[in-house]
Amino acid sequence: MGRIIVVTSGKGGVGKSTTSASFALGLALRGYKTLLIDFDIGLRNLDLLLGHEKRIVYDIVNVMREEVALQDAVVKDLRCSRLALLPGSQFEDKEVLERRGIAKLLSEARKKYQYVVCDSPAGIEKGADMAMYFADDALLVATPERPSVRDADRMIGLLTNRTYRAEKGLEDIAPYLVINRYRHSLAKRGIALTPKQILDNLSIPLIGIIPDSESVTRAANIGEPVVYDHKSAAGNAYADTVARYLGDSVAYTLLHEGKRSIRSRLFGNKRVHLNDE
Amino acid sequence: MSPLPVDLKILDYRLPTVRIFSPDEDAVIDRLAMMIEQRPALFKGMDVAMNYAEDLPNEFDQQVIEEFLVAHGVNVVARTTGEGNVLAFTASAKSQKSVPDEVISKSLRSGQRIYSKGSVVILGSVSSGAEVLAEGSIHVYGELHGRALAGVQGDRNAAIFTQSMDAELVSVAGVYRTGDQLDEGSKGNACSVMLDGDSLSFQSITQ
Repeated sequence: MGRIIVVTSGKGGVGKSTTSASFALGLALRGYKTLLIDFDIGLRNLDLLLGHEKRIVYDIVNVMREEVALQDAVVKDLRCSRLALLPGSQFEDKEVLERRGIAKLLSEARKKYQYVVCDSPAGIEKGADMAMYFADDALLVATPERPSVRDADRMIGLLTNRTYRAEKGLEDIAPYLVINRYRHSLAKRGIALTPKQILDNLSIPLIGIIPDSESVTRAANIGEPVVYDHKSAAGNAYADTVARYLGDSVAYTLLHEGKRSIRSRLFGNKRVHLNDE
Repeated sequence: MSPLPVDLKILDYRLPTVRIFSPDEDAVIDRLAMMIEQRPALFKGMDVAMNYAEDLPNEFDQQVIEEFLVAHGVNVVARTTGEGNVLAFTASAKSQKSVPDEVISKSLRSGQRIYSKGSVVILGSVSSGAEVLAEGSIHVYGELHGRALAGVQGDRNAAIFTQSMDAELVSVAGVYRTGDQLDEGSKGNACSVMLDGDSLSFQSITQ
């Protein structure tokens, strides 16, 4: 049985989809059969982030309404065949999602994939609700700003109350924190929150700090998740995030943007080896 | 031979066909009136072929039957006899059948979708994430970045025309190709997409 992971934040624009794309591709590159589902009905973006926009025939609404089988609707990634995308619908709105259809879709996805990564839309309304309801684990994406941290805190509360696991009295969803768009220089000068401040506030396990990087912008525009870019600090930070999620112990080596530390120059940054296809 | 004076069947030439068995025009019209009353939405705007049994007398009044149907919104497009030999395609019906082209004067944005019962002309562009569905042909005077599905009710003569081809998906009568499989040469160029047998054929449009 595969595990369902929701990527969520409450706040918009903090990098949920970017994180979903890199995290899912990262899992696939580590050898796991992974399905990425875009729950942002009406404002889908993962197709672009993965460069799949010209390969889509069906979408999540077709599968939910049982007009087409899951395996016929997913778009396989060309870089790594272990990754598949179930695109969101661009034409409907979030109201079309209903729990029974999603339950059926996810229980089938669980049988066929080892990890199912659900990219949640922003907000705490229906779309976000549907994306998180059946999740086993959650990646909370927050940027080092107070509005983002408060929204993430609100989200953690919802995850422990308004989900299947909560309602059935099962073990709580395991939330993990990913700090995105981190700039060490700003944190050092007290302009941005430090990881410690964020952790004190949210008190959930931290599994990734993604540096603010132009390679993320580039990745979005060429349709290739940044985790695939071995030269990118952000890409390597995502690979490390995946490794930590999988239980590896990986040190945080990329807190300095731009120049590399003496230690990393001497020993090289600790990298998780990616098994490319 | 059916015991009814008349019935409605889909014969070999794939048109619903009004088959007339009885030489009694009044009985035929009464029966048709009953059928139309039961399912008015089915008959309204429906294209049918007439099929007259071979043993009807010469003086049988075909015109009164056809006029009755036309008066109830049915398009009589063909006249046949016996086993289905086509006698004539009726000219008057043809003009009733044509649906005027729908003209969209703006661009279609991402997430917008239009459905046209006939052919559709879009004067602007079709953005990535927008979709045009038409029972007839699709003409895009701007750039086609989204999805275009022509002949969605099975019209194999439908086609897609655009000034700049960069579609995410094109389809004619259910035969589709995704954007990553478009002909290299067609990208960004004026081009037409038509059905050629069981596959789509891309032709560049040159002056």
